[in-house]
Amino acid sequence: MATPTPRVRMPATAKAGETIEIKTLISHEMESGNRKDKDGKVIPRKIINGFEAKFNGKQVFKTVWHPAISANPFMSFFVKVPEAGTFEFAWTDDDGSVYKSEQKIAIG
Amino acid sequence: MSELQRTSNRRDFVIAAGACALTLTSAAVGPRAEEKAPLLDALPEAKAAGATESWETAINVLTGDAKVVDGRIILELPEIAENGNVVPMTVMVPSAMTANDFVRSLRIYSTGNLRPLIATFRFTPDSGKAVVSARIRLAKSQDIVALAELGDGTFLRRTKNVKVTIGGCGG
Repeated sequence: MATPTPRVRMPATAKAGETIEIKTLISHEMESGNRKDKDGKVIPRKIINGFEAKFNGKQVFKTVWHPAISANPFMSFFVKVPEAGTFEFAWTDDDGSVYKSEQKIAIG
Repeated sequence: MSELQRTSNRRDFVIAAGACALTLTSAAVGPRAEEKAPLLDALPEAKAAGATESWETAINVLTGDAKVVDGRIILELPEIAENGNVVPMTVMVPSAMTANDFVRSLRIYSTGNLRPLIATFRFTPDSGKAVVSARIRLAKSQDIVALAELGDGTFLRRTKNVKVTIGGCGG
């Protein structure tokens, strides 16, 4: 499978202390480990099992995912922005890979 | 294979594989041995929060003696989901999200899937709002349970039924 591509949509600017919505999407098959191939063999599980958002190095939001999360997982959440800075987003794959994305936000 | 299928992530798998090798000679202890392995203590999400048990057990283990209040959580799910592979879900937990009064975590349980735990979301007072949206897989028509842990250690709980026309997760 092609390398998963993370996509993040969030405002470029916010007022100090404003709560913004961050929408994230990553392309991933999220193979549940329950399905069988045509020979009846179980297709091994391979999902993104975690996501984490950091703002200026501090963790602000985290989730743990299980196989019941749909393929190409979409998620939106909220974060309060006290100052200008950089958001770092990281998705962790079952195989240990980490897919990262960064977004800057300005106060204005 | 069933023990291996039940394991909830790669690290679990490695631990379980190791435990199987160790317990071959003591079949009476059997598959539960790996659950007592100290390494799993580092994986509360995989164990106590119910990646493998029934959803009732998972919730009981997590809440213990704490107070559980029904309601308050707003759980938005379609009444009828045509495609169980992609069911949109939005969960809102009303909270001021201050240092004293905030939502610590939110767990979503399925009552009809193979594994009860769907996802865990962790918030901080910096989250501003305890609101998340995601898309989930549902194997069949069932109740979805949202369980929120508040900063003071109490829990909120909300259940909603979803009718699924074509189930997800299958194969």
